[in-house]
Amino acid sequence: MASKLSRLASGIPGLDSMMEGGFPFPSTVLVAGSAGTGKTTFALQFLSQGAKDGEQGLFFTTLSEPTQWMLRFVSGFEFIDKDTFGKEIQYVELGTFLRSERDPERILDFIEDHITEVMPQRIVIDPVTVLGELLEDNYRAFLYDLTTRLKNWQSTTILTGEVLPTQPYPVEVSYIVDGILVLSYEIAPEGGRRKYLEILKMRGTNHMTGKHLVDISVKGFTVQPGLR
Amino acid sequence: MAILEKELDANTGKKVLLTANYVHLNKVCVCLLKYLLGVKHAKGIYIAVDRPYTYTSRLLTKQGVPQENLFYLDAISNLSSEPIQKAKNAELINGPFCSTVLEEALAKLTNNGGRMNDVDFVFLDNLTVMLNYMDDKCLFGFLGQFVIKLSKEGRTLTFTMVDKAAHPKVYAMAKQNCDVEIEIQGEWLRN
Repeated sequence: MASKLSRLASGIPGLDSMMEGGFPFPSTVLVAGSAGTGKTTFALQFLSQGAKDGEQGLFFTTLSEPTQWMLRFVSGFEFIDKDTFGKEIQYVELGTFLRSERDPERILDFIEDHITEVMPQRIVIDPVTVLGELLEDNYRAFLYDLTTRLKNWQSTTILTGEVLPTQPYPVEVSYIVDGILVLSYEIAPEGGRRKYLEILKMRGTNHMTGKHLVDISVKGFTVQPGLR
Repeated sequence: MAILEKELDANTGKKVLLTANYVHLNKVCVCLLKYLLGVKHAKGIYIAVDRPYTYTSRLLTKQGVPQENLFYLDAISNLSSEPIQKAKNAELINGPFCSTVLEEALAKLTNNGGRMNDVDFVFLDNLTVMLNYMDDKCLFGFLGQFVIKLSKEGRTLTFTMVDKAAHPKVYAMAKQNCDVEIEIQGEWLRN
């Protein structure tokens, strides 16, 4: 008799049924996609679910977008509960720290300092790929240490990864995470873009494969399993 | 937190099974140790089988929980690939595997220069994760030994278990070996 994996609801309608009820807990999951595929919306919806479930969330933003602007643009989504800002969901400007710090141990220390203060069950680092540009040769070792520690702090973490449209996911990150979700788009025959989500990897989980249609609206990010 | 403290207070000196949702485990650990070390000023042993003891130690430091009276027995650092951190108040054993944990861990506790003499509590964290390393027969045997060898008048033995619904046999075994179960509710842990 082995220990069965605990699962955490993703907060994304349609997704949990594709992966045995939710993300493994604890785990690290890469959500990769090019610009406009919904990575940050996905991540916030994940944290919002946690807030509804009485869990604590921690959102680290790197050098992608200042928190004030990110929140301004997402505040129109129906899943956002502004009462949770600064409480059940706490925001940390990792980007400011990264402007002057390149030592991987100090970056890890900064992250862990916030984790031990807040004790989150859900964490987002958005995007993690910025750290690759800053840490260069130390990046892979840093990612290894980061993902190991995040799981030992007993949280499920979404790492968002920026890629070009021609690149499915950031390879360096893919080796050390427990799950990989790829967000992509294609030009539709009738014009416009169709967006998709694919579960490439989810350890310990019998998950659906292939691309599934995604809808991003005022309701947030929704997956339509089986629709391609 | 007040409700949990009240429950713990009422069950001092007993064999206590704490059951919780996995997502609450960090907070359960902090609340329990804050109560035992910070409020009751008790002396105790923490047996780490889920993650290196350094995580709990760092968490307790950040949360203002004193650790002068806490000794760590760590069964996982040697497997974790993280740098081993030795400390005066921590001892590492080779792994939470059946043959090791039954003999080495209990021997270290009970034969180690009288360390157990004035210990007020022993906290095992957590039963469920031990299933990753041993079969249920071995786990049953271990828990039985844990209770028999470490029980003493006035000493609290605490073991946590997560996701009990997913592991009914282990839960049943744990219930047999405890005096009381405290089922942690999420709202108890809110500040």
